[in-house]
Amino acid sequence: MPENVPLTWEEVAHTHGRKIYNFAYRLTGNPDDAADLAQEVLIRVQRGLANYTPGSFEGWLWRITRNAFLDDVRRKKRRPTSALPDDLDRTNLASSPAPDDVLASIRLGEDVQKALLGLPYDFREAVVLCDIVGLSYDEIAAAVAAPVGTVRSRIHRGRKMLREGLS
Amino acid sequence: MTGHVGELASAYLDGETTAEESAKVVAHVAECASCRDELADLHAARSALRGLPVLEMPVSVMVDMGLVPDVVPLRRRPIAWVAAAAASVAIFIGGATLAAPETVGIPLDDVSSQYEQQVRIDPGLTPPVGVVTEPEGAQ
Repeated sequence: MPENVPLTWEEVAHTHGRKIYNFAYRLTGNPDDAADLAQEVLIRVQRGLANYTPGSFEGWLWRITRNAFLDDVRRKKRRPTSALPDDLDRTNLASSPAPDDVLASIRLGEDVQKALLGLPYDFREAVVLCDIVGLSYDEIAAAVAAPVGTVRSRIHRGRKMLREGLS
Repeated sequence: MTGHVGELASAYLDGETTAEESAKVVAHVAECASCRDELADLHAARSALRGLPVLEMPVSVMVDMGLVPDVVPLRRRPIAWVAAAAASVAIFIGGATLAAPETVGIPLDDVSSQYEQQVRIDPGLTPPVGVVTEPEGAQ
């Protein structure tokens, strides 16, 4: 394997763009906010890649992503929780007839998303980075600048709250 | 931790425990019904999150970032040969009395944005497919 092959911005965007978008969507529950955030992150990655020093790339990338999200929350002066649009069920489900199992799966997904949005930010972020993005505890700790023990606790409590929210 | 597995349970499910911790979880859960229930609840929450559909990044972001070419102008271009073909058919059947069939603009933008909305909810959705017609003069 060649050494010191620099990552190009396009490679990062193609490899991680979808994960960044999913992270943003699951944290906000809003496709427009998620698209804006994904774009902002890609711009920051483009600017920052020249100064990137080899190390934990995942930690670096997700730190940028997280900071972009928190900056966005501060800029919009809203709490980092927002509900799904009220008309989501009607607009999307009514217009697309589907077999019962597909509808059940869609409704379950919406229930999970709503329960997720009900979690305090730190817990929501921890479970999203773990279960949606697929980072290890060490990578999450690097991304959120917290000890691994804190990450472990947040994931555990986040899942417990989510389970309660779903029952 | 007062005997129960507590936070170790989630870490165990994620393979983030040491061998010693894993052994402790397994041994304890075998004896403790409440920890067994908790482990099942945590597993259900974890599975619910991991079972959420993976959403595609909107094409608009890819286009804005220059990652894919902007195909929107092409989509909006009127399909000239449809009108030409319709008119020629009317003439061919001697159609002084027959009006050329009215061509209906295909709202591709509407169809695609509707599909984009729906596919966020159901990523397995089949893309809309239209009827393919041959251009004028084709055999």
